[in-house]
Amino acid sequence: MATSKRTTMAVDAAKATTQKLYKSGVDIKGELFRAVLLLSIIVAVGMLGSLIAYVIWRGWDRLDWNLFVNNPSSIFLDTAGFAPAIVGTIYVMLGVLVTVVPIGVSAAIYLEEYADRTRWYNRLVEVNIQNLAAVPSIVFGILGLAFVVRGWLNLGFVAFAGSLTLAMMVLPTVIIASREAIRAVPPLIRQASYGLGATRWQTIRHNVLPAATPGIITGTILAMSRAIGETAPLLLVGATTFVLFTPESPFEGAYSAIPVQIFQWAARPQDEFRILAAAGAIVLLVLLLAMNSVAIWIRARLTKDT
Amino acid sequence: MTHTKFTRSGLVAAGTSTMLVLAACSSGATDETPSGDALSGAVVIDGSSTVAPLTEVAVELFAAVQPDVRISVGVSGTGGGFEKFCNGETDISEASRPIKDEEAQRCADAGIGFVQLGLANDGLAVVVNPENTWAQCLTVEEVSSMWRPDSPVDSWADVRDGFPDEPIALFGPGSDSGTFDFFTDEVNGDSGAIRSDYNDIGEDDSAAILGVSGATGATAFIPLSFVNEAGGQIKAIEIVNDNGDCVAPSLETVLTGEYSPLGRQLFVYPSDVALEKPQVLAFLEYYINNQAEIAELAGFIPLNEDQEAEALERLNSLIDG
Amino acid sequence: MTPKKKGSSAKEQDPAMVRVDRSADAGKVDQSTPLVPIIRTEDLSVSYGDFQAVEDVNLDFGKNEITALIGPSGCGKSTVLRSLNRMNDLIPTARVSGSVHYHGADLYSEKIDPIQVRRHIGMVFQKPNPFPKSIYDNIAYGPRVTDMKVDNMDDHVEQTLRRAALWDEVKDKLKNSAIGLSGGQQQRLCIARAIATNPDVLLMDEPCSALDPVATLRIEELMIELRENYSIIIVTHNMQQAARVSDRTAFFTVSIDEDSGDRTGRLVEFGATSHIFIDPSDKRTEDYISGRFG
Repeated sequence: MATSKRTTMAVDAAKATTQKLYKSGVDIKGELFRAVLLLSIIVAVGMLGSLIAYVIWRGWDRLDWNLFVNNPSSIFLDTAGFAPAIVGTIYVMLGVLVTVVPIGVSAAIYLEEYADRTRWYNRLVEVNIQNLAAVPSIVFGILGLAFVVRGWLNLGFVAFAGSLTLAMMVLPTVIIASREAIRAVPPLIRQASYGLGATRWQTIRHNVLPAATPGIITGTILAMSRAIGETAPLLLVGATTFVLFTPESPFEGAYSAIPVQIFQWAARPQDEFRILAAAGAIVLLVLLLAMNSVAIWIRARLTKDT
Repeated sequence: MTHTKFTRSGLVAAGTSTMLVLAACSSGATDETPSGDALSGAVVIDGSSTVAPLTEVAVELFAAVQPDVRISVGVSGTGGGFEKFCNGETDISEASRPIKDEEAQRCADAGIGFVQLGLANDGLAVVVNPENTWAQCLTVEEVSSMWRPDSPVDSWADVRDGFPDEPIALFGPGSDSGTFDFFTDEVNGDSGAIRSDYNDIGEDDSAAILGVSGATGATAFIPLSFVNEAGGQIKAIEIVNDNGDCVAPSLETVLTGEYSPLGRQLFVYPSDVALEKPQVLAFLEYYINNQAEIAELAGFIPLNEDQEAEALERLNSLIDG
Repeated sequence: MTPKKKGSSAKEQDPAMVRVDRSADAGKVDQSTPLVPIIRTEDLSVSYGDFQAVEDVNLDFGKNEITALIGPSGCGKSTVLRSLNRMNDLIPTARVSGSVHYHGADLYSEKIDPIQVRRHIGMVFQKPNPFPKSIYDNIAYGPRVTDMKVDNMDDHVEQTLRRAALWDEVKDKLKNSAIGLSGGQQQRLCIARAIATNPDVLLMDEPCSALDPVATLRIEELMIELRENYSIIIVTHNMQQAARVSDRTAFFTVSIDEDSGDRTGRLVEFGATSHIFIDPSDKRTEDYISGRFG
């Protein structure tokens, strides 16, 4: 008796569920949401696409080999190029890479693995890092001029001073992304390592860091991509707009950088310069893509291994 | 390794073409430079972005004579340039205005001696038809009322009460011109801001002169150097400066700074310390001796003979003192 | 010894051939069998911040025996397990009082290095957690980080995998990522990884809870084989598993403070598994085992 009643109830419930499975008309809200999402991505990709299309169209006449191998010129506008600026930008970016990655990753390891978050000074550091990420870049330029070019480090107007200034600017990005990556390493992996008698450093070195590396690389790509296009801080710390030579080294001599060169030429009245500026934007894009491709290739290799 | 390679080929390319232009334009120019010794070392130049194109041309030409001198040109702006200059961080500062008293004081406090060298003139004139008897002197606001974007003004009567109801015809260079940039920046407050229905004469400033001479109510803005060339076809009108004075454009008023804001001289300031370096001195001598060609290539008004002589004299005074 | 192992692992190739009846192996001790303790806790209490997780545990864990810790959720059995090799140290708020004796030393004495403790008392976790490295590197990890004297790492890896009855299944793909293994294989790899450093005690925290029945039975079989050389302590929710594999069983329960409502884990009863499951002394044990509680 009880069984048959229970069976009836079960059958009813099943029927009700089945009926719910049939469509009850068009899901307007769902479709609307989908349309909004689609629109968002079209706007985002469309803006990027039209921007790239515009600079290519604008700079098309000067997309030639001269652009990469020639010096800038105020006389021969048709053959002027970005050679010193390209080398300058490469110097500056290498400097950013070698400073920001070790410092950023170390800071992230400290904050994630060692810092006692109940201590006020650790919390202060955390809050400050978050805030630093929101400071306008020109402020880092002023800071770089005061403490890197002059003041404490007194490096002068050299490429490495530009590197350190941009490194300060993008350091929060690297720290935050690295912390996220380190935090995403499953606790089980750490426990397994500790369980085998590994020390904290061994656990970080052999497990946490390798597992976090793809995330750290992603953060570094974002940081480098932001740094490579910066103009204002570089102008402040002495990137020049016109040099007919490549810097001796990152530590001595005047240097130029692609965005600074673009900035200066875009403001010139002659149309040749404006075309050159657009072509320069493409050079910058190419350099950025090359840089990121290498990073993505490294990341892909690392993730394939594991 | 790779960068040295392609930079060197870049240098060669720029160098060769520079030689060609030197040979073509001015055979006598290089003779006056101390080209006997091959110089090397760095020259650090920073300052006004208006002066930069002029100096860049000088640097490029000089590089053909002294390829081992490494000159860099920055654009920190006139003020930013002086800040670095008085800090002893640059050899030469570029300025689109004379140094201010407080800037000069800061240099003096730092023990940095300097001299002001005018190396080109930059000015433009607002011109009208000789039969235009009413517009003798205009304020910048009145000029702007004719030229600003979406300006409804189409008669002189709209410019100032009492002017006759004579239709205005506007002539001006196209947006590629440095004159255009300077005029729109100074008069309309924003480089490139201008009404769209004026007669665009492109790069050919003499076309504007023809246009203005053909209609009583016509007006145009042209580089100062063209006013004298045009003779009596047009007349330049006076512009009210910051002191409220009506000043006619001329080399003299541009030089003294009275003709403002449409006239100015472009300056470079070498420091006494920097002039002890032979490469800095050689560069400046080259710059002054070839100023006419340099100004022309960069699109500025060259110095007259007196100005050039004065620049050389000032340079020498700093070396001797 | 070795041929026998080979035989058993060969048999494991086919899941259908896994022996289900383990009664002959399990419960080799009874209440009268003397216990030779390898680990002994005295008044062990663990708290996390203000929360008293488990209180006053006095337990002896027998050498070359399998001891099962059972009881309802929140009874503190995992906490006790983790305090035996100082894994609780990794939780900043954890406080341990009382003592854990191992080879005559108190593991919570100030002179003891927790890293060294974990090198002697290995651990296997609830979810299989192989490192995202090759199978070989998973096994070699422990010996490498502990600077263990190993004449030939290749041989050591092979020996270890043989002892964990995994060699035949993975010998051709030692350089492959451990992530590619099945869940049961991963867990046996974790067991192999744990014994690679030659510990004498293995702690297992619900090692089969994420596995299917076939994989579970294999692990149980492995545990019984490993008992010859290791002392094993296992936390399990699975009563049948405790009955099948363990020699002795400790039953924990949660006591709720009537005033504050605080829940604290306590040891109720400890004895030979046959005794606990057939004739428990405590009413609460009987209720739990017969399914009336928990």
